Amino acid sequence: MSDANAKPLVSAVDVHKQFGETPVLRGVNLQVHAGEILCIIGPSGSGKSTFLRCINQLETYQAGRLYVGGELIGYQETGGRLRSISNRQVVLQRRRIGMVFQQFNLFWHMTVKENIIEAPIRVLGQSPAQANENAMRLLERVGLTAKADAYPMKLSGGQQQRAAIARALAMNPDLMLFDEPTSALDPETTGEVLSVISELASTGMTMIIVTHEMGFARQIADRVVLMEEGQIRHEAPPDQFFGEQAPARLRAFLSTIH
Amino acid sequence: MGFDWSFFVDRIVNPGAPYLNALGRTVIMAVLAMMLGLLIGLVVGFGRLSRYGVIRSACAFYVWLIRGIPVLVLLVMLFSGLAAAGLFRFSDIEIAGFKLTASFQAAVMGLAIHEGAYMAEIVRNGIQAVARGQIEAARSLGMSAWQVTWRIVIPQATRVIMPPFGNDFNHMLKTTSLASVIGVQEIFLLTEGMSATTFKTFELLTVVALNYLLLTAIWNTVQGVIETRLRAHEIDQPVRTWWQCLLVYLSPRVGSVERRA
Repeated sequence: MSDANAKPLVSAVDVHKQFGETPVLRGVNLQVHAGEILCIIGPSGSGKSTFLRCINQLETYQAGRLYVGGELIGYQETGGRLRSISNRQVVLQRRRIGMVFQQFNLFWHMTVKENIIEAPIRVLGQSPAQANENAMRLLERVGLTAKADAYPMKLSGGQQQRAAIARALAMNPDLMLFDEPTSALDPETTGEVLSVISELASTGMTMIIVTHEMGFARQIADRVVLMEEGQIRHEAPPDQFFGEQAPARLRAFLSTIH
Repeated sequence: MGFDWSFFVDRIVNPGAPYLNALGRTVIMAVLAMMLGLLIGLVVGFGRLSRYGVIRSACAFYVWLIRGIPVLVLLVMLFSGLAAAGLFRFSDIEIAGFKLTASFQAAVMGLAIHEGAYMAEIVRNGIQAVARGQIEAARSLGMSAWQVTWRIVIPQATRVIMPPFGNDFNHMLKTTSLASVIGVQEIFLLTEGMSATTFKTFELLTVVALNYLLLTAIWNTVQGVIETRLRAHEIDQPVRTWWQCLLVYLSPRVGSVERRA
């Protein structure tokens, strides 16, 4: 775990977001340091996914400040007022952040390897040879070398998710966001995806993981937070979070999951 | 009363230059109208999904209007109606040595305008069929809006668009016969002319009907090969070349390929 005095990689200050009239994020305050692994748990509809999506600008927050690497996400601040940044700048900010989705979202018309090399070639301007070499190294890491030339529909859910992780890693992100990465998987394949994420954790990658896998969160996280009704309600290291001294409300929530 | 077999066979074996020219005109008219129609359909189809309300409404209006007018009326309107009102008169032009008659231009325009309205709906449906999640994944990888459209949406939308597009082109090959009304010398008008002089009406109409059938049969094969190519990733055997696509298309299929949602 990193030094508490260091500048956080991700910093959310009173972040608000609403869909129409419905508030989803109601003042999220959270800091994540480089190298830290944060797990977010909470009931569905609590805003966990929306928060992740705001970090990656798949959604825009409406008030508060969200910084990644010291840079304000989605806005330009002049004299205390926020102005949206251009699409071009959004694209640049996103490059440093990798995202893994519940539904994998592999490009259906491309092979696994083509999925992985697409953005490095088109966005980072890597040469095909370089991108291919990197892709094969990543596939080896997630144990999918044999499936490099397979199309996504020929893969199991677990294999698709591992390919999706490799695809996000190919961009060399500073931060990885996981939005319920195993929720669409059956118990057997869940394990293979979790072990890939654990392996990634051991390399010092900064990760924010929204998950319902309590055992996994307890084992992998440096810190666990409970999100409820669009706010961070509790945060603690996993031992305390899942321990006996946790507040009653948290224990009540955890008991509904187990 | 009887079917003049020798006349019938002779028409097929020796169609003669005027008939072959007319056949060429039919095919070129269909291809040009389809290409223009696709272009209109792409613009209007994307337009219907525009973030700007004015563009969305204008495109929806186009589709609503054109789909409510018979092609035949549209053709006569363009060729004779506009001229009668003194608004616009098509005139013969020559491009690279090919003479395009006024009626041919009007026919291509009319067919394209008509096709464009239907293509717009096909294109819109194709775009909407691309899973939202894949677009988000592409954006999260830092791809620009243009890259997402070009690399992710269009290749997959093409797969969805191809079957109804092929269906429309099949239709178009035959709809060209309506251009006879404004005097385009295509195979149907030529056949009518011949039948007036020979009185072999039934034989001649059978020949022309078979001819349309031949055109659509050829197109169906081409379409099948293209579709096979586009769904190469769903087929168990490797299909990399056009030739392999043809073989897969022609091979008897034991049940359809299993598809996951």
